[in-house]
Amino acid sequence: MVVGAAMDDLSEDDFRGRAKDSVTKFSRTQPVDEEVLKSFLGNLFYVPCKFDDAEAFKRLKSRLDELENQRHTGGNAVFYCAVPPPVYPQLVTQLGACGLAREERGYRRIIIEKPFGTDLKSARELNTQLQKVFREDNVYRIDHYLGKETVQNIMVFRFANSIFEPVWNCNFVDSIQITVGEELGVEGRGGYYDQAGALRDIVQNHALQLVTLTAMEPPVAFDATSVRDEKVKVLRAVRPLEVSEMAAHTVRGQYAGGFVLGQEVPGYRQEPSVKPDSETETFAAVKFQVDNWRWAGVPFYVRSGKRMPKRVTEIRVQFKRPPHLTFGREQIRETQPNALVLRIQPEEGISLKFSAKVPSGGIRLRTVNMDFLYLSSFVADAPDAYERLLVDCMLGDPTLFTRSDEVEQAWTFVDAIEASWRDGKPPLETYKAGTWGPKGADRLLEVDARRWAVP
Amino acid sequence: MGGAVIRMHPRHPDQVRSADWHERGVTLNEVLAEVTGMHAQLARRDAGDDSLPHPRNCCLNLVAIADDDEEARLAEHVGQALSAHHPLRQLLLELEPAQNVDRLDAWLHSEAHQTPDGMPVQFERIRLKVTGAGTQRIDSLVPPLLVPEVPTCLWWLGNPPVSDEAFLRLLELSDLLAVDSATFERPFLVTLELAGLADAVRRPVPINDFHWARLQPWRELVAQFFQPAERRGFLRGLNAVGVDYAGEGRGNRVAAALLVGWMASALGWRLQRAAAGSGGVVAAFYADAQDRTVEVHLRSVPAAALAAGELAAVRVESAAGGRVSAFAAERSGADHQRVEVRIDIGESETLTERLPLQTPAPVELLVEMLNQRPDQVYMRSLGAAADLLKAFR
Repeated sequence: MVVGAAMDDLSEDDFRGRAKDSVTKFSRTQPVDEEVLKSFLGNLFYVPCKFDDAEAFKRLKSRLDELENQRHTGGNAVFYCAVPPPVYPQLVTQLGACGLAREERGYRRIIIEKPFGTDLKSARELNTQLQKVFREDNVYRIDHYLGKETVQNIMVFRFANSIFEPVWNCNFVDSIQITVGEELGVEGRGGYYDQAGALRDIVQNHALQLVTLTAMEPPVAFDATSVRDEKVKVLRAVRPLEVSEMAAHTVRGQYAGGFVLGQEVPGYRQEPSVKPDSETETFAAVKFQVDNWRWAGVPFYVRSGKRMPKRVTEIRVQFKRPPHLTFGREQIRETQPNALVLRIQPEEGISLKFSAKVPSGGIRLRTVNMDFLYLSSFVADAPDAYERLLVDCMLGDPTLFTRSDEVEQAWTFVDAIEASWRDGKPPLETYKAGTWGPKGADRLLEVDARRWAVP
Repeated sequence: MGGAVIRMHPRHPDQVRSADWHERGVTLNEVLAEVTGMHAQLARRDAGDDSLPHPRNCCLNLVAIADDDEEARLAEHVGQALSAHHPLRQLLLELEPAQNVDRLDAWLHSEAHQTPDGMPVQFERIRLKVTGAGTQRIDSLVPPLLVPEVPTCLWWLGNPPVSDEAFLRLLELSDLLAVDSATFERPFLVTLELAGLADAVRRPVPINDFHWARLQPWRELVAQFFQPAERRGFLRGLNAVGVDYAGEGRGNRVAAALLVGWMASALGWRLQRAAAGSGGVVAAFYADAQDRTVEVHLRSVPAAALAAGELAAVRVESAAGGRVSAFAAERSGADHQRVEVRIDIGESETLTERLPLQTPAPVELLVEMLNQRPDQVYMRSLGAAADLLKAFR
């Protein structure tokens, strides 16, 4: 059952009506099965609850106790905080004060959405507050990227196959490119986004999560502790950027007006709730090293932006050229070095690029692909990321959730960049909506004689 | 034709499974959702009860830009024919800038079939009619529709707007630009712009031209004349070239210039000067590697059965070792689908032969362009042809 608790003064029937409308509109399975929907709606309840009102939380507790007796839930409860991050501390305190977090009979878990703080200091404060009320293993920090099938498949691809891991290191890999792009603008979230920016909104969490999964050592088992330990090790190995490196290793941009998917779109500063002189970045690109044995000398290039030409998230493992040009310099020029592209979304799948001989009398080479596409390889629909993660939380499996030390380590890296950006280093560049970011992003790679692949 | 084997198999209609969708006044997001849905639908239908679903099997994005319905039909035909063997996604944009309404209409066609040798092939065609101001921003429509990680061929059927920002951005997504200079409204200017394209884009993109591809039989005829070892010396003594092309007045002399450009770039000729004559006759003078003059004449001739600019005749004269040679190839027959070849060497040897001169279908030409990319011979010939055309200005 689901018990909604929010500031809106709704009856349970109102709440069910809203839920019905949303399910009918957004459900992946269309048309919606009326019997299933009716059964689902029968399990929805609602308690009006102002977050500064301790009495309201007591009413919530009474209602949960009452429903527990009626429906035999065994005292188990998951508190899903779909509230703005500044409300988390108050909400957690209230849950603790009225005894809702106490595990007297069943489990009591809390799910919170990113951003987990706005910097290292606030993240630590949030963790402290959470841990005062909930045990760390009952705190589920949700980064829905980790619930995506394709993200989980990174680990399967790497650790359930024997042919890739031997070349997954600095001896064979030239560089790693990670792109998290979306065609959308701020979509009515201008107020929030103007405080956050691309670095904190995406790089600190989604993008660095992809870095950890790409760069981590094989965990001894697929369990929460083993996997998360290895991910944290990667973040600890990320070389912090020095102040003097910021201009050459980071790029921040903000979109101007342009065309996306054939539609004219306004510039960021013209978006509702965005300050007209806003300096918030809608694009961030960072180059860094992972200082460990496996990745020594391999640059990681990460970029994320809004109003890109299309929605795409991909990891490109760019391999080195062969050490000897057997077929000559001219022939090799027509081909690209091997690359393995893990596409997280859309067109979820994996592409391996390699050279092949063009059928002809002489020797001509061409780059070709071997492709795996989820859509046409598995008939069954993959569960939505949130479906998977919510079930994992109910089952008590935090493997695909972010641990407090991961969050803090990621903020440590990002805070240094933020500090430099606040000092105007590097300056904010603009880019036309519908492009892959500012010119500085291209320069980031050009100085290393590389270029971004077009996703 | 470049040594490649081109296999164009007809498809078996009873083995084709297809899905279609059409909607007027749509957004690109709706089109994207429908494309994904159709792809999944076909994959599932193909999977049956216990077999694996259809593999992805796409090795080309063919982006065709058409100015009118006739060009769009040609592009559809070529895409369909190509897909008989070559799994691809065709993105066909029909542009109608003169319309006042800013609108997007979409026709989607997706099909899966097997080639005679059992290869499963999937073909998707996304045809978008773009009207009004939307025609100025097609560079924002194309990227989300491309299949990632496979080559993209940009086929601009009409007049490529070479200096437009949208065109240049599309070009940067492409691995080959295919044009047909026979259909250019301003062949002279556009050819010069094409020759200068390498400087306008960050990444040099191979270009090819159907008009050039149709010259292949003529180039082979000329090259075959010099093939025997005893005639090789004539290559170094080549002193006059004449090219006739269909048209009136100046007409479209791009193909003629490309043929001369091919010879000039291959033999290291340097253009000295050019002079325009009357009645569409122009002359150019090159210096060869030994600083001897090579005289080139281009002439338009009326030929109703030929498209404007198509070659009607080629003449090559040379002198070496105290002997002179003359090679002439001229179209003949009512349909101009034959060529009369006459070879005179010295005063004794004369050979005449009548050969078929069939123009390959557009799909075969496109396959050849895809196989040849980057066609360095064309790129060198284009550079030399542009110099020649500029000199004629």
